Amino acid sequence: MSERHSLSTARLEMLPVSPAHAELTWPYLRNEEMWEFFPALRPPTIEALRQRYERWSHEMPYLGAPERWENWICARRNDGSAVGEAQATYAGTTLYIAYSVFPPFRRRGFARESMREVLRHAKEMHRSQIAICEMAAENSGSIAVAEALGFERVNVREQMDSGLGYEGKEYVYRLALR
Amino acid sequence: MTLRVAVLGASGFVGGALCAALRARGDELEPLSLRDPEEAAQRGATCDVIVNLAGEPVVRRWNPAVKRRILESRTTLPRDFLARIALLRPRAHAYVSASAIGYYGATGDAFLDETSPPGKDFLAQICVEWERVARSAESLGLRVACIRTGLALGRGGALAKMVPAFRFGFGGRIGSGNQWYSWIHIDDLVGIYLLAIDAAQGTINAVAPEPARNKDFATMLGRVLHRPAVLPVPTFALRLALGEGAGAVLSGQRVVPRRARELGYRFAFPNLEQALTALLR
Repeated sequence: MSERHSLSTARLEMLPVSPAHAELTWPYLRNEEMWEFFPALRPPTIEALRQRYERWSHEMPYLGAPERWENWICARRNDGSAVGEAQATYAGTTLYIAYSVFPPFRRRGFARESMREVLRHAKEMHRSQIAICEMAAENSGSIAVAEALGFERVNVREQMDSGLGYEGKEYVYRLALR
Repeated sequence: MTLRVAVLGASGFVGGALCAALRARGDELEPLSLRDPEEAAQRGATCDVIVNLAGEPVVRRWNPAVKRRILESRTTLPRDFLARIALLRPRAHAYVSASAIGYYGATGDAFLDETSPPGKDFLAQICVEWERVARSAESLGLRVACIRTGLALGRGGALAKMVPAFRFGFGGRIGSGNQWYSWIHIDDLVGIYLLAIDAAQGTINAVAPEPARNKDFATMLGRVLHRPAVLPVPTFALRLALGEGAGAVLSGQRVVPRRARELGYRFAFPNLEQALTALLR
């Protein structure tokens, strides 16, 4: 069994996600602005968000998965405000990261700060050697974060809309964790 | 009586064929995209039947991010879509969802019908959850049907990927060639969907009555194209190309269409040679 770890940075407490966190994040996640690149994933109700967090609180992305994952709510230390979400999926020695920062807290370096801590944690606790992140080609904010962390673009994929609401180019970024 | 039918995934291989058939019989179509999930739910709620064919493609190289999308596109997205529909007092009386014969996992030579238990691999788990989400529409008062689809043969889809290799003489069995292909002609797949849209309920295997071993399928494809199926695709090459996703191609199931038969469905293409000839000549 892998443990669920709290992480911390200079400005953030990163708390293992639980269904109760839906109360904190729903005011942001209910807004369309948050889902510019994956509109279909916007939760329809706070109950749907609670259920999503319940799944995210398990150690496996799905029953029987060979991968393990950790999901965090990033809260600001000074006032406890939820500023975003962070996710690490461990597949052998490869780490897949994902993150979001809620609109009022963007452009303040929270994504970079939380991801730097996730990379450290994955390297030290999970012996991850390679980190991968994938994002929509138009997502300039995420691209800037990945490149600032030292990720390099290694692949471009074309995603077709098969009714799921997302299409267009996606970039794959990679970083060797030395 | 004409129906108003909402279709998620209308632009895909199966969706295109189903929409053409619905139009041909005079039904009114409402193609939906989750690009605007609220609008999709509102339009879907005004229809008589909702058909969900949307899903991230499965036969590709998997990584955890791709697997998440395969999972979410078949579980989270329809779950959220149905939650939105529930808020709208839908006029719809039926929900028809795609599923796949991957439900049964890799099972060797055993015959499988709709009563057979699910497998334990990734695709099987996805199908179990996919169908569970679909059945949750019953709580909205909708009749629910899940179509466990086999290898759909048409002018597009999997066959379009296989044929060029055979035309140039490079086609052949995959791996040992002993795995079963439970195939279905696209016209029959559409026929089974129409059956479900009109009246059927529960789970229905959408496969032809005679599954073929992969090596026999390759031989037949070569014969129909007048090209010998001589060059096998080695397992390692496929694993290199598709990684864990190669399991979707290498592990077969021998599935029979028991429910479709019980419901009185008459297959237009029960025989593989007939199906391939109709599509390729």
